[in-house]
Amino acid sequence: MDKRIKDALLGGIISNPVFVLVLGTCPTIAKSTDVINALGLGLATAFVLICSNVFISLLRKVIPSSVRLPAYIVIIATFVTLVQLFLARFLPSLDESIGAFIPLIVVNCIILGRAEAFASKNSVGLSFLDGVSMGLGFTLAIVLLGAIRQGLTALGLAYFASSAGGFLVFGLVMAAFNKVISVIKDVKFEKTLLKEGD
Amino acid sequence: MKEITKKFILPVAVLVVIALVCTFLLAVANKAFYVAPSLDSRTIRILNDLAPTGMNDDEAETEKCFIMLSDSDLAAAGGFKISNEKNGASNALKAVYYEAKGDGKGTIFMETTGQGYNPLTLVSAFVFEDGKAKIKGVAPKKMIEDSGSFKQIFDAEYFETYLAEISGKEYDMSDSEIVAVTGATTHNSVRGLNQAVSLAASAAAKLAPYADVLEEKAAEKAAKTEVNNG
Repeated sequence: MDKRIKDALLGGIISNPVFVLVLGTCPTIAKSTDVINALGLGLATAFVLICSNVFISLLRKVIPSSVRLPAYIVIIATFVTLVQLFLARFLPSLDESIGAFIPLIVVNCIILGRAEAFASKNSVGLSFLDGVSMGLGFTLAIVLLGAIRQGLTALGLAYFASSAGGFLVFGLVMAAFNKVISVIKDVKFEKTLLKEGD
Repeated sequence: MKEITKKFILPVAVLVVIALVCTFLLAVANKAFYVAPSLDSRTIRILNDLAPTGMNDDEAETEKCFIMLSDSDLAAAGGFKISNEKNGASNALKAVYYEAKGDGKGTIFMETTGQGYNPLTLVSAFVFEDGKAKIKGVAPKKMIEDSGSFKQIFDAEYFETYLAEISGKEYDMSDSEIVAVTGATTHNSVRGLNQAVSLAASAAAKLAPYADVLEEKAAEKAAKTEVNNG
Protein backbone atom coordinates (compact mmCIF):
# COMPACT_ATOMS: atom_id res chain seq x y z
CA MET A 1 0.00 0.00 0.00
CA ASP A 2 1.19 3.53 -0.83
CA LYS A 3 2.90 5.02 2.25
CA ARG A 4 0.85 8.25 2.05
CA ILE A 5 -2.44 6.30 2.04
CA LYS A 6 -1.20 4.15 4.93
CA ASP A 7 -0.19 7.25 6.90
CA ALA A 8 -3.55 8.92 6.24
CA LEU A 9 -5.45 5.78 7.27
CA LEU A 10 -3.45 5.16 10.44
CA GLY A 11 -3.35 8.86 11.39
CA GLY A 12 -6.41 8.51 13.60
CA ILE A 13 -4.55 5.96 15.78
CA ILE A 14 -0.86 6.90 15.60
CA SER A 15 -1.58 10.64 15.70
CA ASN A 16 -4.87 10.32 17.55
CA PRO A 17 -6.29 13.86 17.72
CA VAL A 18 -7.38 13.50 21.35
CA PHE A 19 -4.70 11.37 23.02
CA VAL A 20 -1.62 12.23 20.94
CA LEU A 21 -2.21 15.68 19.43
CA VAL A 22 -4.32 16.73 22.47
CA LEU A 23 -6.80 18.69 20.33
CA GLY A 24 -10.53 19.17 21.01
CA THR A 25 -10.12 18.59 24.74
CA CYS A 26 -12.98 20.91 25.75
CA PRO A 27 -15.84 18.97 24.05
CA THR A 28 -14.09 15.69 24.88
CA ILE A 29 -14.20 16.34 28.61
CA ALA A 30 -17.60 18.04 28.53
CA LYS A 31 -19.52 15.41 26.61
CA SER A 32 -17.80 12.18 27.64
CA THR A 33 -20.04 11.62 30.66
CA ASP A 34 -22.36 9.43 28.63
CA VAL A 35 -21.63 7.02 25.75
CA ILE A 36 -24.62 8.06 23.59
CA ASN A 37 -23.80 11.77 23.82
CA ALA A 38 -20.13 11.00 23.17
CA LEU A 39 -20.99 8.91 20.11
CA GLY A 40 -23.35 11.62 18.81
CA LEU A 41 -20.78 14.39 19.19
CA GLY A 42 -18.01 12.18 17.81
CA LEU A 43 -19.95 11.30 14.67
CA ALA A 44 -21.10 14.90 14.16
CA THR A 45 -17.48 16.06 14.41
CA ALA A 46 -16.33 13.26 12.09
CA PHE A 47 -18.92 14.26 9.48
CA VAL A 48 -17.82 17.91 9.59
CA LEU A 49 -14.17 16.86 9.46
CA ILE A 50 -14.63 14.60 6.42
CA CYS A 51 -16.73 17.11 4.47
CA SER A 52 -14.56 20.12 5.27
CA ASN A 53 -11.38 18.18 4.44
CA VAL A 54 -12.79 17.18 1.05
CA PHE A 55 -14.02 20.68 0.17
CA ILE A 56 -10.91 22.46 1.38
CA SER A 57 -8.76 20.04 -0.58
CA LEU A 58 -10.92 20.59 -3.69
CA LEU A 59 -10.53 24.36 -3.36
CA ARG A 60 -6.91 24.38 -2.19
CA LYS A 61 -5.59 25.80 -5.45
CA VAL A 62 -8.35 28.41 -5.71
CA ILE A 63 -8.27 29.87 -2.19
CA PRO A 64 -5.58 32.59 -1.90
CA SER A 65 -3.29 32.10 1.06
CA SER A 66 -4.20 35.49 2.59
CA VAL A 67 -7.87 34.53 3.05
CA ARG A 68 -7.46 30.82 3.69
CA LEU A 69 -8.44 30.90 7.37
CA PRO A 70 -11.71 32.86 6.91
CA ALA A 71 -12.50 30.65 3.91
CA TYR A 72 -11.91 27.49 5.98
CA ILE A 73 -14.07 28.81 8.80
CA VAL A 74 -16.94 29.64 6.40
CA ILE A 75 -16.76 26.12 4.91
CA ILE A 76 -16.53 24.43 8.33
CA ALA A 77 -19.37 26.58 9.74
CA THR A 78 -21.58 25.60 6.79
CA PHE A 79 -21.18 21.90 7.54
CA VAL A 80 -21.66 22.47 11.26
CA THR A 81 -24.94 24.29 10.55
CA LEU A 82 -26.01 21.41 8.29
CA VAL A 83 -25.36 18.96 11.13
CA GLN A 84 -27.30 21.19 13.52
CA LEU A 85 -30.31 21.38 11.18
CA PHE A 86 -30.18 17.62 10.61
CA LEU A 87 -30.11 16.83 14.34
CA ALA A 88 -32.98 19.24 15.08
CA ARG A 89 -35.07 17.58 12.36
CA PHE A 90 -34.29 13.90 12.85
CA LEU A 91 -32.72 13.43 16.30
CA PRO A 92 -34.34 16.07 18.55
CA SER A 93 -33.45 14.33 21.82
CA LEU A 94 -29.76 14.13 20.88
CA ASP A 95 -29.96 17.74 19.69
CA GLU A 96 -31.30 18.70 23.11
CA SER A 97 -28.51 16.96 25.00
CA ILE A 98 -25.49 17.91 22.86
CA GLY A 99 -26.98 20.92 21.03
CA ALA A 100 -24.81 23.49 22.83
CA PHE A 101 -21.64 21.77 21.66
CA ILE A 102 -22.58 21.46 17.99
CA PRO A 103 -21.91 25.14 17.10
CA LEU A 104 -18.62 24.83 18.97
CA ILE A 105 -17.43 22.23 16.42
CA VAL A 106 -16.61 25.26 14.22
CA VAL A 107 -13.77 26.18 16.54
CA ASN A 108 -12.69 22.60 17.27
CA CYS A 109 -8.92 22.66 16.75
CA ILE A 110 -8.97 19.18 15.17
CA ILE A 111 -10.98 20.40 12.19
CA LEU A 112 -9.14 23.65 11.54
CA GLY A 113 -5.86 21.88 12.32
CA ARG A 114 -6.44 19.14 9.71
CA ALA A 115 -7.64 21.71 7.17
CA GLU A 116 -4.46 23.72 7.59
CA ALA A 117 -1.99 20.87 8.05
CA PHE A 118 -3.38 18.27 5.67
CA ALA A 119 -6.34 19.12 3.41
CA SER A 120 -4.79 22.33 2.09
CA LYS A 121 -1.69 20.41 0.93
CA ASN A 122 -3.02 17.03 -0.22
CA SER A 123 -5.31 15.52 -2.84
CA VAL A 124 -9.06 15.05 -2.32
CA GLY A 125 -8.73 11.27 -1.88
CA LEU A 126 -6.04 11.51 0.76
CA SER A 127 -7.90 14.33 2.53
CA PHE A 128 -11.02 12.18 2.61
CA LEU A 129 -9.07 9.27 4.13
CA ASP A 130 -7.47 11.63 6.64
CA GLY A 131 -10.93 12.98 7.56
CA VAL A 132 -12.32 9.46 8.03
CA SER A 133 -9.31 8.33 10.05
CA MET A 134 -9.10 11.42 12.27
CA GLY A 135 -12.89 11.60 12.65
CA LEU A 136 -13.11 7.97 13.73
CA GLY A 137 -10.05 8.46 15.95
CA PHE A 138 -11.81 11.33 17.71
CA THR A 139 -15.08 9.35 17.95
CA LEU A 140 -13.33 6.29 19.38
CA ALA A 141 -11.44 8.40 21.92
CA ILE A 142 -14.51 10.27 23.18
CA VAL A 143 -16.61 7.07 23.26
CA LEU A 144 -13.85 5.24 25.18
CA LEU A 145 -13.73 8.04 27.75
CA GLY A 146 -17.54 8.10 27.85
CA ALA A 147 -17.73 4.36 28.51
CA ILE A 148 -15.12 4.51 31.31
CA ARG A 149 -16.69 7.57 32.98
CA GLN A 150 -20.24 6.22 32.66
CA GLY A 151 -19.12 2.87 34.04
CA LEU A 152 -17.34 4.46 37.01
CA THR A 153 -20.32 6.71 37.69
CA ALA A 154 -22.66 3.69 37.55
CA LEU A 155 -20.44 2.02 40.18
CA GLY A 156 -21.28 4.90 42.50
CA LEU A 157 -18.18 7.02 41.84
CA ALA A 158 -20.08 10.19 40.94
CA TYR A 159 -16.81 12.18 41.03
CA PHE A 160 -15.99 10.87 37.54
CA ALA A 161 -19.05 12.58 36.08
CA SER A 162 -17.55 15.94 37.06
CA SER A 163 -15.03 17.90 34.98
CA ALA A 164 -12.25 17.15 37.49
CA GLY A 165 -12.99 13.42 37.25
CA GLY A 166 -13.08 13.79 33.48
CA PHE A 167 -9.58 15.31 33.45
CA LEU A 168 -8.30 12.50 35.67
CA VAL A 169 -9.70 9.76 33.42
CA PHE A 170 -8.52 11.67 30.34
CA GLY A 171 -4.96 11.90 31.70
CA LEU A 172 -4.79 8.23 32.69
CA VAL A 173 -6.23 6.97 29.40
CA MET A 174 -3.91 9.30 27.47
CA ALA A 175 -0.88 7.92 29.36
CA ALA A 176 -1.95 4.31 28.74
CA PHE A 177 -2.69 5.00 25.06
CA ASN A 178 0.67 6.64 24.45
CA LYS A 179 2.47 3.81 26.26
CA VAL A 180 0.77 1.22 24.02
CA ILE A 181 1.59 3.23 20.88
CA SER A 182 5.25 3.60 21.91
CA VAL A 183 5.55 -0.16 22.66
CA ILE A 184 4.09 -0.97 19.22
CA LYS A 185 6.50 1.52 17.60
CA ASP A 186 9.47 -0.04 19.47
CA VAL A 187 8.52 -3.58 18.40
CA LYS A 188 8.15 -2.41 14.81
CA PHE A 189 11.51 -0.64 14.97
CA GLU A 190 13.22 -3.78 16.35
CA LYS A 191 11.69 -5.89 13.58
CA THR A 192 12.99 -3.44 10.97
CA LEU A 193 16.49 -3.56 12.50
CA LEU A 194 16.44 -7.39 12.56
CA LYS A 195 15.33 -7.45 8.91
CA GLU A 196 18.13 -5.09 7.95
CA GLY A 197 20.61 -7.27 9.93
CA ASP A 198 19.54 -10.36 7.98
CA MET B 1 -2.82 46.81 -11.59
CA LYS B 2 -2.19 43.08 -11.90
CA GLU B 3 -0.53 43.10 -8.50
CA ILE B 4 -3.49 44.92 -6.89
CA THR B 5 -5.94 42.45 -8.44
CA LYS B 6 -3.92 39.49 -7.19
CA LYS B 7 -3.35 40.91 -3.74
CA PHE B 8 -6.68 42.51 -2.91
CA ILE B 9 -9.48 41.90 -5.40
CA LEU B 10 -8.98 38.16 -6.03
CA PRO B 11 -8.93 37.09 -2.35
CA VAL B 12 -12.07 39.11 -1.61
CA ALA B 13 -13.81 37.78 -4.72
CA VAL B 14 -12.97 34.16 -3.81
CA LEU B 15 -14.21 34.66 -0.27
CA VAL B 16 -17.44 36.26 -1.52
CA VAL B 17 -18.08 33.37 -3.93
CA ILE B 18 -17.45 30.78 -1.18
CA ALA B 19 -19.77 32.66 1.18
CA LEU B 20 -22.50 32.90 -1.48
CA VAL B 21 -22.31 29.19 -2.32
CA CYS B 22 -22.42 28.29 1.40
CA THR B 23 -25.38 30.63 1.98
CA PHE B 24 -27.25 29.02 -0.91
CA LEU B 25 -26.54 25.53 0.44
CA LEU B 26 -27.75 26.51 3.90
CA ALA B 27 -30.91 28.12 2.52
CA VAL B 28 -31.75 24.86 0.74
CA ALA B 29 -30.93 22.80 3.85
CA ASN B 30 -32.96 25.13 6.05
CA LYS B 31 -36.00 24.51 3.88
CA ALA B 32 -35.41 20.76 3.64
CA PHE B 33 -34.86 20.27 7.38
CA TYR B 34 -37.48 22.76 8.62
CA VAL B 35 -39.17 21.54 11.78
CA ALA B 36 -42.76 22.78 11.91
CA PRO B 37 -44.14 23.32 15.42
CA SER B 38 -46.47 20.53 16.44
CA LEU B 39 -48.38 19.35 19.46
CA ASP B 40 -45.92 16.56 20.21
CA SER B 41 -45.43 14.82 23.57
CA ARG B 42 -42.70 17.24 24.63
CA THR B 43 -44.87 20.27 23.91
CA ILE B 44 -47.79 18.70 25.78
CA ARG B 45 -45.50 18.13 28.79
CA ILE B 46 -44.50 21.81 28.76
CA LEU B 47 -48.12 23.00 28.39
CA ASN B 48 -49.28 20.64 31.14
CA ASP B 49 -46.58 22.03 33.44
CA LEU B 50 -47.50 25.64 32.70
CA ALA B 51 -51.25 25.19 33.15
CA PRO B 52 -51.90 21.78 34.72
CA THR B 53 -54.92 19.94 33.40
CA GLY B 54 -55.14 17.77 36.52
CA MET B 55 -54.17 14.76 34.40
CA ASN B 56 -50.79 13.27 33.63
CA ASP B 57 -49.17 14.09 30.29
CA ASP B 58 -50.27 10.87 28.56
CA GLU B 59 -53.89 11.32 29.68
CA ALA B 60 -53.82 14.98 28.62
CA GLU B 61 -52.61 13.84 25.20
CA THR B 62 -55.22 11.09 24.88
CA GLU B 63 -58.03 13.34 26.11
CA LYS B 64 -56.98 16.04 23.60
CA CYS B 65 -56.83 18.67 26.33
CA PHE B 66 -54.63 20.90 24.20
CA ILE B 67 -55.43 22.20 20.73
CA MET B 68 -53.09 23.82 18.24
CA LEU B 69 -54.75 26.83 16.64
CA SER B 70 -54.00 27.64 13.00
CA ASP B 71 -54.34 30.89 11.07
CA SER B 72 -57.79 29.83 9.88
CA ASP B 73 -58.93 29.18 13.48
CA LEU B 74 -57.58 32.55 14.56
CA ALA B 75 -58.97 34.50 11.60
CA ALA B 76 -62.22 35.05 13.52
CA ALA B 77 -60.22 36.86 16.21
CA GLY B 78 -59.87 40.16 14.35
CA GLY B 79 -58.06 38.60 11.38
CA PHE B 80 -55.12 37.52 13.57
CA LYS B 81 -52.36 35.75 11.65
CA ILE B 82 -49.51 33.82 13.30
CA SER B 83 -47.12 34.63 10.43
CA ASN B 84 -47.66 38.38 10.88
CA GLU B 85 -46.40 38.39 14.45
CA LYS B 86 -42.72 39.14 14.22
CA ASN B 87 -40.27 40.91 16.45
CA GLY B 88 -37.24 41.35 14.23
CA ALA B 89 -36.09 39.22 11.31
CA SER B 90 -35.75 35.88 13.03
CA ASN B 91 -37.89 36.35 16.12
CA ALA B 92 -41.41 35.24 15.46
CA LEU B 93 -44.56 33.73 16.87
CA LYS B 94 -44.30 30.08 15.83
CA ALA B 95 -47.49 28.53 17.18
CA VAL B 96 -50.56 29.14 19.34
CA TYR B 97 -52.02 26.42 21.58
CA TYR B 98 -55.19 26.43 23.66
CA GLU B 99 -56.25 24.39 26.69
CA ALA B 100 -59.71 23.17 25.76
CA LYS B 101 -60.20 20.71 28.65
CA GLY B 102 -58.87 20.33 32.16
CA ASP B 103 -58.25 22.48 35.24
CA GLY B 104 -56.47 25.17 33.23
CA LYS B 105 -59.21 25.41 30.59
CA GLY B 106 -59.10 28.70 28.70
CA THR B 107 -55.32 29.15 28.96
CA ILE B 108 -53.69 30.24 25.72
CA PHE B 109 -50.05 29.42 24.97
CA MET B 110 -47.72 31.27 22.62
CA GLU B 111 -44.60 29.61 21.23
CA THR B 112 -42.17 32.37 20.31
CA THR B 113 -38.49 32.79 19.53
CA GLY B 114 -35.92 35.27 20.77
CA GLN B 115 -32.26 35.87 20.10
CA GLY B 116 -30.00 35.32 23.10
CA TYR B 117 -26.44 34.10 22.68
CA ASN B 118 -28.23 31.64 20.40
CA PRO B 119 -31.82 31.46 19.15
CA LEU B 120 -34.17 30.29 21.89
CA THR B 121 -37.76 29.11 21.79
CA LEU B 122 -40.10 29.72 24.71
CA VAL B 123 -43.70 28.88 25.50
CA SER B 124 -45.61 31.56 27.42
CA ALA B 125 -49.02 30.90 29.01
CA PHE B 126 -51.71 33.59 29.36
CA VAL B 127 -55.21 33.77 30.79
CA PHE B 128 -57.77 36.28 29.60
CA GLU B 129 -59.36 38.46 32.27
CA ASP B 130 -61.57 41.47 31.55
CA GLY B 131 -60.39 41.64 27.95
CA LYS B 132 -56.74 41.61 29.01
CA ALA B 133 -54.05 38.94 28.71
CA LYS B 134 -52.39 38.15 32.02
CA ILE B 135 -49.28 36.02 32.10
CA LYS B 136 -49.41 32.69 33.89
CA GLY B 137 -45.96 31.30 33.21
CA VAL B 138 -43.03 30.91 30.86
CA ALA B 139 -41.01 27.79 30.01
CA PRO B 140 -38.09 27.24 27.66
CA LYS B 141 -38.84 24.78 24.85
CA LYS B 142 -35.55 24.91 23.05
CA MET B 143 -32.47 26.83 24.04
CA ILE B 144 -28.78 26.24 23.93
CA GLU B 145 -27.88 28.99 26.40
CA ASP B 146 -26.69 26.26 28.71
CA SER B 147 -22.94 26.27 28.36
CA GLY B 148 -21.05 27.76 31.25
CA SER B 149 -22.47 30.95 32.69
CA PHE B 150 -24.51 31.84 29.58
CA LYS B 151 -27.59 30.19 31.04
CA GLN B 152 -27.64 32.38 34.15
CA ILE B 153 -31.09 33.96 33.61
CA PHE B 154 -32.48 30.46 33.09
CA ASP B 155 -30.92 29.16 36.33
CA ALA B 156 -33.60 28.28 38.86
CA GLU B 157 -33.10 31.19 41.28
CA TYR B 158 -33.05 33.92 38.61
CA PHE B 159 -35.85 32.41 36.56
CA GLU B 160 -38.11 31.86 39.57
CA THR B 161 -37.62 35.48 40.64
CA TYR B 162 -38.53 36.54 37.11
CA LEU B 163 -41.64 34.34 37.06
CA ALA B 164 -42.75 35.60 40.48
CA GLU B 165 -42.40 39.18 39.22
CA ILE B 166 -44.45 38.72 36.04
CA SER B 167 -47.13 36.22 37.15
CA GLY B 168 -50.71 37.45 37.05
CA LYS B 169 -49.81 40.71 35.31
CA GLU B 170 -49.99 42.13 31.84
CA TYR B 171 -46.44 41.69 30.60
CA ASP B 172 -44.50 44.90 30.15
CA MET B 173 -40.84 44.70 31.16
CA SER B 174 -37.63 46.10 29.79
CA ASP B 175 -34.33 44.21 29.73
CA SER B 176 -32.89 46.48 32.42
CA GLU B 177 -35.92 45.91 34.67
CA ILE B 178 -35.40 42.15 34.41
CA VAL B 179 -31.73 42.58 35.29
CA ALA B 180 -32.66 44.80 38.25
CA VAL B 181 -35.30 42.37 39.55
CA THR B 182 -33.42 39.11 39.11
CA GLY B 183 -29.80 40.18 39.46
CA ALA B 184 -28.94 38.29 36.28
CA THR B 185 -25.96 39.69 34.42
CA THR B 186 -26.03 37.76 31.16
CA HIS B 187 -27.58 40.53 29.09
CA ASN B 188 -27.80 38.59 25.83
CA SER B 189 -29.84 35.80 27.39
CA VAL B 190 -32.04 38.37 29.18
CA ARG B 191 -32.61 40.11 25.84
CA GLY B 192 -33.55 36.81 24.15
CA LEU B 193 -35.95 35.91 26.94
CA ASN B 194 -37.55 39.35 26.90
CA GLN B 195 -37.91 39.43 23.11
CA ALA B 196 -39.72 36.09 23.10
CA VAL B 197 -42.02 36.86 26.06
CA SER B 198 -42.78 40.41 24.85
CA LEU B 199 -43.76 39.07 21.44
CA ALA B 200 -45.97 36.43 23.08
CA ALA B 201 -47.57 39.09 25.32
CA SER B 202 -48.28 41.42 22.42
CA ALA B 203 -49.89 38.57 20.44
CA ALA B 204 -51.94 37.50 23.49
CA ALA B 205 -53.06 41.12 24.05
CA LYS B 206 -54.36 41.23 20.47
CA LEU B 207 -56.34 38.04 21.03
CA ALA B 208 -57.64 38.97 24.50
CA PRO B 209 -60.80 40.81 23.31
CA TYR B 210 -61.76 37.66 21.41
CA ALA B 211 -61.58 35.22 24.34
CA ASP B 212 -65.12 33.93 23.70
CA VAL B 213 -64.48 33.41 19.99
CA LEU B 214 -61.31 31.46 20.77
CA GLU B 215 -63.09 29.27 23.31
CA GLU B 216 -65.73 28.47 20.74
CA LYS B 217 -63.18 27.73 18.02
CA ALA B 218 -61.13 25.52 20.35
CA ALA B 219 -64.24 23.57 21.41
CA GLU B 220 -65.20 23.14 17.75
CA LYS B 221 -61.74 21.91 16.86
CA ALA B 222 -61.61 19.56 19.86
CA ALA B 223 -64.96 18.07 18.88
CA LYS B 224 -63.78 17.68 15.27
CA THR B 225 -60.60 15.91 16.42
CA GLU B 226 -62.65 13.52 18.58
CA VAL B 227 -64.99 12.71 15.67
CA ASN B 228 -62.01 12.12 13.35
CA ASN B 229 -60.35 9.88 15.92
CA GLY B 230 -63.61 8.05 16.62
